[in-house]
Parts: sequence; structure tokens; C-alpha cells
Amino acid sequence: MRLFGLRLLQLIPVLLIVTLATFLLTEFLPGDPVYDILGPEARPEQIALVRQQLDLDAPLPSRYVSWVSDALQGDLGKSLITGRSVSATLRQRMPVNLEIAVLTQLLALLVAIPLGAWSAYRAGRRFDRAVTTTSFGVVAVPPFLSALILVAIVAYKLRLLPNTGWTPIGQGLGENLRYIALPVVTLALTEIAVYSQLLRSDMAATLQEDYVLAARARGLSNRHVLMREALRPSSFSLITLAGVNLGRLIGGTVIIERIFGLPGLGTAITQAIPAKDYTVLQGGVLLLAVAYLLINLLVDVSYTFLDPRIKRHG
Amino acid sequence: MRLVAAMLALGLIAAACGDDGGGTGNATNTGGSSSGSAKSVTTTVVTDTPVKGGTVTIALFSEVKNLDPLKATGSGGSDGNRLFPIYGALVTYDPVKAVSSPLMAESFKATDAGFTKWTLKLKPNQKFSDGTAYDAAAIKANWERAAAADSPCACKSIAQAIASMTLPDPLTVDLTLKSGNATFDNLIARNALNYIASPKAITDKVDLVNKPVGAGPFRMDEWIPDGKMTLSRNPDWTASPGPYVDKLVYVIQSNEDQRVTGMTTGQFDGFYTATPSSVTTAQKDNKDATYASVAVNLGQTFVFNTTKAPFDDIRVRKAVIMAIPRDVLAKDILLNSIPADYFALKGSKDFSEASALPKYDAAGAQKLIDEYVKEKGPITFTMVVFQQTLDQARAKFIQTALDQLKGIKAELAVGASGDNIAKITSGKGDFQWTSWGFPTTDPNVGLYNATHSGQPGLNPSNYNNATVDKALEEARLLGDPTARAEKYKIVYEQLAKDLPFFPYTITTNGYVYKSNVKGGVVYEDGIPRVDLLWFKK
Repeated sequence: MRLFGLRLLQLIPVLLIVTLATFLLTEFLPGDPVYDILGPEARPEQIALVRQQLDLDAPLPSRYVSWVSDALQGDLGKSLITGRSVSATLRQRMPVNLEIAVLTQLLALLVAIPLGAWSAYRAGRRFDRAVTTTSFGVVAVPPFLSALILVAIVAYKLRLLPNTGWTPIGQGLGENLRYIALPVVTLALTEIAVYSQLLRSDMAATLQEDYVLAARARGLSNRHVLMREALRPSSFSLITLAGVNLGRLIGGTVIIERIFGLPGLGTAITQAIPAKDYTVLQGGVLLLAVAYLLINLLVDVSYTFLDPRIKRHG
Repeated sequence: MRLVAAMLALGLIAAACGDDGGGTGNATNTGGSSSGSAKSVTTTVVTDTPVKGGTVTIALFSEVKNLDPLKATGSGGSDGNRLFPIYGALVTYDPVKAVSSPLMAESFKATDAGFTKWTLKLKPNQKFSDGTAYDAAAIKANWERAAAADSPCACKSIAQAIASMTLPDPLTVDLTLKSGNATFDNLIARNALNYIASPKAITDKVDLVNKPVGAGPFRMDEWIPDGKMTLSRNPDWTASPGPYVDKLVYVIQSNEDQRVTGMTTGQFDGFYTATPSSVTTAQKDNKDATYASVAVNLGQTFVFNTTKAPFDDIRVRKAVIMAIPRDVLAKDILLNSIPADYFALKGSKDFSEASALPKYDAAGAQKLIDEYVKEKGPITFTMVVFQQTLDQARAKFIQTALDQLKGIKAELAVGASGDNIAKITSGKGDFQWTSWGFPTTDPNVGLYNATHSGQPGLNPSNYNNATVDKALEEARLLGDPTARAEKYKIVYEQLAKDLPFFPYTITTNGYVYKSNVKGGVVYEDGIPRVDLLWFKK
């Protein structure tokens, strides 16, 4: 508990740095958002009025302080271009990315753990070599290419799943899963390859430990040895990486969003950049930063469950 | 190659294709002065009896920023496809016949020989989704809103061309224009003035950007930006026999191949495309699929600043055009688009062979450049380039093409849209070359704006030719489309002599529909008449 509280406090300066950096970056974006709002024929007095209304001429420090204090109350402002509430926009889009990220990780871990464990158990043998070779092959294929291949085979040739689109969970879980399946599988492929190899490597070393040999000597089954004795201490790297990846999957899948027509956060943020929609950009980056930091916090805390020694020694 | 094409398609979609949406009229062949690679199918007037029911799902290539007509472009490649179902339209423009037809209007006619007085009569018993009457007062309120000094509407100059409006009865608007215009109804058809929002919603300051209140054939149920928009049939719509479908769903899919695949796999009933190769593929994979489209004149154009060296010299303009293989540009960079060989659209009333662009001739281009360099020295110019992937690909192609010549060098200046647009439309001539879109569904609108002198912001090349000005002004006062076309011929022929810009592709905007979807028709620059769509069982 104390560890959790300490980590939570450490987030605050990190968040401040991230938000300040985002604010400063938007200042360096070329162009003026007012032209995107008013159009190229805007007259100087119109431009001046809109800049005043949007507070764009106020000094940077006061704008930053004002934004942070509003953000703490849940108000991330309105889009400079559409006028939509940024909070509402992010609330609408975040579930898309969250669902993709969580399902991708779940699928990846469900497949990678047994694959990695068995590869470690069969280290050097045919199964291990096959998995390793396949993993390297999969990692070499960029996700957008995997996406197009899966679409061509699963959607186009076999007509098993839709190739694009999105249905919110509220409109039917079955439909939602049908649409999310291909994007999730696309993203999970690389994660499966990486996780299985990582676990395989750590577990192969763990399986040489004396206590594991002792467990085998006591006649415990392979399954018990792998999943109960060896998996936990071999999982640190896997969990760390899964945590980092979860954050990346939440905000860094804009190409997958575009290929599959998903109304996600990545699209909103990348569209905000050329449009100079500062408020959406700042709100989106803040949200991703918070998500990232919280996930890493949970990863840190999870270590204490994996290894009680960490809990005792902090 | 297909994968490269897919990635290029991503870039294509990122490009401001919607900026150019200029096309008007009913479903027609994919035409153009050069043969395109798309198989074209004419969608004829429906002879079967439309059947009510069903949900039609159409894939679009990009999301729109807002649904307020005041802030929209009204373009078929952009927000026009949303404005029509929500707001309907006063009139629809047919570019083949070059006339507008009333839709929510009963009639819209000039009442004097000088075309300064117009009477707009509305059909009765139409109302907005908030219950307000769709009447003359609503038209006046919207048009005054568009004409206001602080209006952001791209239609402002057209709205401000109205000197006065009177309402002799609840369904009639009498307009007086500041100067005569024989095709003022076509002008209205082309832009946001065609789409009328509820005046009550305007007065109540309803957020029309996100919650539009219109009187169109459909009402918006849900909008997930970058996802989908779901609309239901408006039971109060009376302007046409439709809508026949119960629901209209627009889905956003920026990847061209995915749109084609989506129709083949049954996810979509239709999709938007301006790419001939997509039409070919879709029709190959979907038996009897139709393409409802319109060809857009001067859709993609390179613009020279004719008031700034080196492009103030016709020799340089001509040399550059001759040095660029535009068929290669159209085929390889622009995914099998149709290259333009003329200023006018072949097959249109205002076409003549004298509007031909110079043919590709690198040796001839070098001669002209050598002549210029002897007098004035080597040529270096800057091309203003937008950030969109496609625009950068185009610009690099130009640069490479010109590198084959001696004495001329192109530099690229990539900038943000807002800055570039301001630079180009400022009228101060702070650029030398750029790529631009000149939608000329009705020449009276697009061509006039782009080529008549004294129009900073609208005439980006700063072109100034008395013959052209005279022909355009005379065309505005001619009620007969054939007589107008003769005047536009003069304009196009003069453009072919002066080369202030050059169109390099014919753009076709349209929708491919599955064989069981009937009634596919587009108006203006490719806006689908979704009220006429129905499913044949």
C-alpha cells in the first residue's frame, strides 16, 4: 500500500513535465489554427476576434496554468476546429483503443505463455526451433502488412469476418467482437512472437534452477512445474514488456485504426496535428500520458505479487 | 505492387481530395477528354418500381469536421454527402444538361431580362426536424446569416451578391441581385446556400456543427466521428417520392482498397471513389455493379503565378507544361487517373479542339527555356506544396521531370494547409507555383472565379485577360445554355493560349453501388441522391 502511494506521488511531477512539454510542442507547430477555423479569406479583424475568443494571444504560462486547472476538474476545453468537448471526444474514442489494447494483450498472453513455456521445456528441439523461426518471421512483418494479408484471406477470400468498421459494445457484444477480431489478431501476432520468445528465454534459464529440478524429482507433472514453479519467477520481463506495450497499444495504433476504419484516439490525435487543433492534441497526449503512467504503476505493483521479496524490501 | 498501391491509397485519402469536389449533374459515364481505365456504366432513369425498406451502408473516404452549412463546403467529395440527407437541397444541378432543377423549391427563376430579379418559390408543407416551417423566412434567415460580415461561409460573396430579399408570401422569396447573373440558380446549387438550417435552431444558437437541424430526407440518429453516421428516414419529407430505405449509414474508411473489399464482402452497399482503377476492380468483383458519377472539369490543376517571375513569361509556362509527362503522372502517381489534354471537358457543350494543352515535348521545352535563359538568366522557382502525401508525391514528380532540363530548377516548399492557402489566395502573389483544385461544375461559378480578373483569393494565378473577362461577363447574362457554352469556349481557347495554369487530370467523383442497389444518381459535383436509393429484391 505504501509502495503504491509512493509511486502515485511520483506520477505528479512526471505528468507536469509531460503536459508542459506538449504545450510547448504545440507552440512550435507551424501555422495558425484560426485559418482552419475561419477559412483562408478571413479578414484580420475576424482573426483577431477568434484569437481573443480562444485566448490564443494570452501568454503561454497563463494559458498553461489555466489549462491544467481546468483539466484537474475534467474540462479539457473544446476542439478549436469542431467546437466539440475534448473530454467528450476522448471519452467516445478511448473505449475503442482500450478494448483493442486489452483484447490484444489477452490474446497475446493466452497464446504466448503456453507457447513460450513449452518452447523453453523443449529448448533446442524441433518444436522450439519451429516456434523461434516462425516468431522471427512474424516480427519481421510490419503490422500494416499483416493487416492487409489477414483482410485478403479472412475477409475477402473466406468471408469469415468484416474487413473494416466498428460497432460499440452497447450495440451488441457479438457484433462488436466480429468487427474487432481482425484488428486484434493483427496486433496480437507480433506480440505473441515477442512474448513467447522472451518467456522462452527467461524460462529456459529458470528451468535449470535447483528448485525446479527438485520439483521434478518429487514427481510433479510437467504442467505443474512449468506453470506453477517456473512461470512466476520467469515473468518479470514479460510483465514489464506487456505493461509498456499496453500503453503503446492504447495510443500508437493509428495505422491499424485507418486500415480497419476504427474511430480511435490515434486518428483523433494525428488529425489534430495538421489542423493545429491544440486542445485535442493536448487533451489526447495528457490522456495517453496518464494511461501510460498508471499502467507502469500497476506493473511495478504487480512485481510485489510475483516476488514477495520486493514487497519486503520495497 | 498492390501493397504499394494500398499505401499510396492511404496517402491519396490523406490528400485534400475533397477540396476539389466540383461536379454536378446526374449519374453519367466516367468521361473526360482521354480514355480512362474505368469501365463506365450509365445509370439510367429507374423503370422498376422502387420498394421501401432496408438499410443502405455507404463507405466514404474521410470524415467531415462539421455539419453546419455555414461552415461547410457543399462539395461532393467532402461534406456535400452529409448535408444533402440532413438538409435536403433547394435545387440540384445537372452538369450534362447544365441546368438546375428545383427539389425543395417549386421553382427558381429569373423574372427580368437582365437576370437581376429572381423569384424562389418553395414547395408547401415542408418542415425542419424541430417542427419549424421550411419557408421563405427560413431561406432569408439563412442567406442573411451567410452574407453577414463575420460569416465564415465560403459562399459569402455569393450571398452578398444579393442586394435585397422580400417575402410576398410565406413560400416565396423575391431577390434582387447587385448585378445580373443568368445562372444564379446554378450558383446556389454549388454551395452552402443550397442547404437551409432551421432558423429557430440558429436563433437558439443550437450547435449545428454537431447537432444539425434540417428538413432533409433523413434525420441523424448517431454520429461517431471517424466511425459511422446513422440516419433514419424523415417521415415528413415530401420533396421527392423517396426516401425508400429506412436507414442510411455512412461508414468512414480512408483506405481505397478496403472500401472496394468491403463492398465485395457485403459490408457496404456502395462506396465513394474518384479512382478509376477502384471502379474497375469493384465492377470486376461485383457483377453488375454500377458507378454513378460525374466528371469534374479542371479538377486537379497546377497554378502558375502569372505576376511573378519566371511564370510571368508564357515561354516558361509552356515549357514546363511540355516537360511534364502528365499521362505518367496520372497513371503512376495518381492511381490510374485520367490525364487531361484539354482545358474544356471533351463531350461538353463548351469543348473545342483549340482548348488543347501543349503535348509532352521535352526537346521543345528545352528550346523555350534556352531562349528565356539567354535573355534573363537561369530559372529557379519555388513550388508551394501541401503536407498531404499525394501532394508531395506530385511535387517530387514535377521536380524530377524538370531535372531533365538544363537551366531550370524547382524547389519545393512544404507547408501547413492554412499557411499555404493564405499564401496562395492572398492575392499578393507570394508564390510561384502550386497544385490547386478548380471545381468547375458550372463554368459560371468555378471558371469565372478562377479566371476573371480582379478577384484576389479566387483567381490564384492572378490571371488577367480582357477577352476572357468579357466572355465570362457576357455568359452570365445569357439564359440559353448553348449560347453560354459558346462564350465559355472562348474562355477555354484563350486559356490554352495563355496557360495561366494547367489541368493535369480529369477527376470523376462518384459512388459504386452493388447490383441490388437501384436509383444511384449524383448531382452537382458528385453528391449522391440518397433519397432515391432502393433495394431490388
